[in-house]
Amino acid sequence: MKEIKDVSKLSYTHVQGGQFRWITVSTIMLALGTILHAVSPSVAGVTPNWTIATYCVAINLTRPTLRQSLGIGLVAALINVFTSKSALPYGNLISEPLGAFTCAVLVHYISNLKIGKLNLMPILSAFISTVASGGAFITCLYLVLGLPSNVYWNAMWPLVLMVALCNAVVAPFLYIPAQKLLARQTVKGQQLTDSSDHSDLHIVPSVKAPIVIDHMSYRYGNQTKYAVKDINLVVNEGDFLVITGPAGCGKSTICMAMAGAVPKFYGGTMEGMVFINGKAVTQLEIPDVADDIGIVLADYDTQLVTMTVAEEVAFALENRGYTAEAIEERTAIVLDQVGLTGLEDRNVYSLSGGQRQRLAIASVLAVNPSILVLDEPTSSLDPEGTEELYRLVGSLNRDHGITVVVIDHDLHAVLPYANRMVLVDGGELKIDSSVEDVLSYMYDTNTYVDALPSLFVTYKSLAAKGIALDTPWLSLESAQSSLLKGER
Amino acid sequence: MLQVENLCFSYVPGQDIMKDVTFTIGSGEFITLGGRNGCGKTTVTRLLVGLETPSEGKISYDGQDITHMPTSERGRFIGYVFQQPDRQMFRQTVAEEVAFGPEQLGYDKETVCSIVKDALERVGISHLAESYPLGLRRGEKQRVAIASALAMQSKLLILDEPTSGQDGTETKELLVLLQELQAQGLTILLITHDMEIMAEYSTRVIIMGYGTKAFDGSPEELFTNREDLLELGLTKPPSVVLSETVPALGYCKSMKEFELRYAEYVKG
Amino acid sequence: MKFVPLTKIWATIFVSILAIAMKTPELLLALFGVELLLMLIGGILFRQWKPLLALIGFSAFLGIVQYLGSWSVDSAIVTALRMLTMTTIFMMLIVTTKTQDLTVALVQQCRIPYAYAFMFTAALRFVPDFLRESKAVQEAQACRGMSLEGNWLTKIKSYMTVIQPLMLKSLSRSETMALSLELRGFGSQQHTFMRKVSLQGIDYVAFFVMLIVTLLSLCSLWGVSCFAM
Repeated sequence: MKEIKDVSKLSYTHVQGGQFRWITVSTIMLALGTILHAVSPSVAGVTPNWTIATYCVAINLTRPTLRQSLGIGLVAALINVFTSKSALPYGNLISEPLGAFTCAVLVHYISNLKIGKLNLMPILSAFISTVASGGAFITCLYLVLGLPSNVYWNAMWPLVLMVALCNAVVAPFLYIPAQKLLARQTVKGQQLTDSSDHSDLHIVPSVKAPIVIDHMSYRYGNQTKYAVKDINLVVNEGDFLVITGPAGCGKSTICMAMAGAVPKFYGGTMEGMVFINGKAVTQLEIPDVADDIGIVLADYDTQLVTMTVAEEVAFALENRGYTAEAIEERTAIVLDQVGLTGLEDRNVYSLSGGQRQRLAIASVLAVNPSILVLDEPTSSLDPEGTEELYRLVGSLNRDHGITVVVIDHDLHAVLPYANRMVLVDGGELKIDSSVEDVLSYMYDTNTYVDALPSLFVTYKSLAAKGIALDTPWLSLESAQSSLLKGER
Repeated sequence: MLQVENLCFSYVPGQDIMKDVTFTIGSGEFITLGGRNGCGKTTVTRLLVGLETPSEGKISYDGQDITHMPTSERGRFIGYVFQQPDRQMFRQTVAEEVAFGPEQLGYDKETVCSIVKDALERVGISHLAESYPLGLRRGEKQRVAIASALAMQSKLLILDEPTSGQDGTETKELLVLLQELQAQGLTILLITHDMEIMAEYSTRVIIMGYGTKAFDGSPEELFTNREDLLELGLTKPPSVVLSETVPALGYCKSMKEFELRYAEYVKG
Repeated sequence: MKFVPLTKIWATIFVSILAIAMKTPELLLALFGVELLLMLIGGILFRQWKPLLALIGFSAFLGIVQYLGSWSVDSAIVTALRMLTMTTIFMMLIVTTKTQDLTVALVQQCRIPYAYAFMFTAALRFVPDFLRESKAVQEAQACRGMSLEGNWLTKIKSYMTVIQPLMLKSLSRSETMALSLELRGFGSQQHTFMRKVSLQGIDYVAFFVMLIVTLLSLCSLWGVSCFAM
């Protein structure tokens, strides 16, 4: 084991991760295929087979292995059967895996089929897969039901070919914009090819605290521009820390570094180190970091992946191998903490936005982390919802002893609960102090002043004009009382 | 310009959730529409734009009865900017995205081009004309949505909670833009929860409550004279609360105004 | 009498085997009768009369196609009844099994890798959300002048203006979803389940009863003396 004395000299590079991208893209495309039947136009009664079209597009987009494609086809068949869109379930259970497999074979073995800039692969694979899948399906019908030959050859096969033609037309309209979108999303980390290995290093933090960020700098992909530079931050037990700063300042990067997603998911080079409960983040896999630190992302809806409340909370526990009894126990505890007791069997789609967010928080708390991080939690909430959220998070901090880190720009709602604040600007940590000090700093240096609550700005402006007020105006009540004192 | 008479609405026939809503919107106004969740403020705007049909009542635009006109045709007069602007985006560049509306209206290519150019300029995003819409920041996406609505050549712009979730800078920039558009002759109808915006920027506030239109007047009237703000789901903005603490200052519509008056008051 | 999903899956397989082996209308009708009886005992017959009617309708349609193709009334009835019995047993499976229990059964007992079972339930979870979104997108585009009237070309173009934004918006979240899955430990080897679907005593009994009935029926259908085995 190599002993590391100076953490700031460490460097760690990782290629872009995202091993489950094929799963998420395929899931989304299959769900889309299911509802497209409902909004689908038809030409003379013939509609595209949206199931096949969408999984063809998914396979073209993510290029899964042949085995994975069979799986995708199987899932497509199961979905069709269970949403009662299947004329003959056995037919689908054979035809969809076959169709998906055909598509994958084409995608893997034929590369670069272009006319000018137009990629012909989606068109070709959609056509052939539909023929394969449709053909298998009608053959099943023919064999199992004993349909007459002339119907099989003269009516069913032409129908299959027409649907295949529809699919071939429709597929590029789905593939091309989707491919452009996904290319933009993943371009940042693609050029790296090697990952560092820290497993034989002995790295310890200089301080014993839940989160220790030591001289961390980070660059995405193989960019030369630093997203964040030389960040030093210690989060103590029981803290309620607010990280704020203008858009693009690097606060999300800091948040992702705490989760271990930077660099292992996003790909890039990290200098310095991030320690979670004494453990170096580069020596852990992302799920292991999640045992200590729970992250709720801004788009909490995408974190909800199961059908009912209880399952959602159980998801992380099932993945880690907890017993059924332990799962039930933790579920009850955690639902009580967020105030969703009694809603175990409710479907996720029937919950309101605020309830869904609580569910996301609950599912993250299920593994009992000691730290909770919320990334821009109020971006889709109204003022009432924001207040409720911070009341909940405040109680988790005060009553349950969870260390909380919130990244937000809606400062006025979170101030009553925070005991510390950090301002990030241009990738650098500008100030790390009490709420009042940081707000004053922001005003005095004219940094991100638009985020300051209007009360505070007025307080500082009046002070600048020589009108002293006894307490800083951090809340309406303190403003009122200080004005009343001034009146006397 | 837009006249609403005795509008009633129900999801289930016979059970009106909204009754006798009557108001007139004139040209060049900046109106905010508020009320608690579920009071019907969004429903009213949906009725205006045709996404819901009233069970009773009449909506007229410039004297023409549009109560039963389909939504796609009302786009000419009323532009609607939804809360999530990226829901509707699907083209590769901002210019193409904004062009969608005028294309649907049937204008020829040249006219569409000039309409798009004009809309982008008015909203201040000409520099983004070739950018990929879905890659933009939230505030920029919203401007694209506003430009898309303007490209429909509508004179009334309805915005559904455009500032929720935005930071202070984006909010300020948006409101400045809306004021500029109002100065150019557009009528703005803003649904919002933000009391500070209501007090500071709008000249007229309509509050939905008790199953009907509960208030229609100036923000000052609302925040100083109404006793039932809590029932209506509203609170007084900080500037009003503080100006009541120091009555000599009179009604202050924003903290900036309060600051100026208080400074004078203390010095004097 | 609660049966585990695996038992119902076996029932589906056995009934389908019998439906394929039976070649006369009378036998198939009897099989269908047995299904109706099971539905009656299970208490789902009256609740599901609408889907059942739809299945009957569809099977009848297939029967007509068969008749038009083969000019034989007998084969038309056989086709229709075979289709009906096979689809009815599937309908019974779907209606009496919770999706989540089925996925656990598929993973634990049918040895399907968990990733695929997950994709199945996750896709179903997103379906209602996407439906809601598609309506919202349609409304937004309507405000920009898109109408669903017109000839088939304009209709297709209009639908694309709804489908594309919907797809793009959902795909843009696939990255966050992939990260969230990693954060929650997805893909580990030690996956357990909260729900219990292991075979109970009554399931073993049901299985053996079904197995014996099927074997005996097949024997008599194929004219093999069962006691000569």
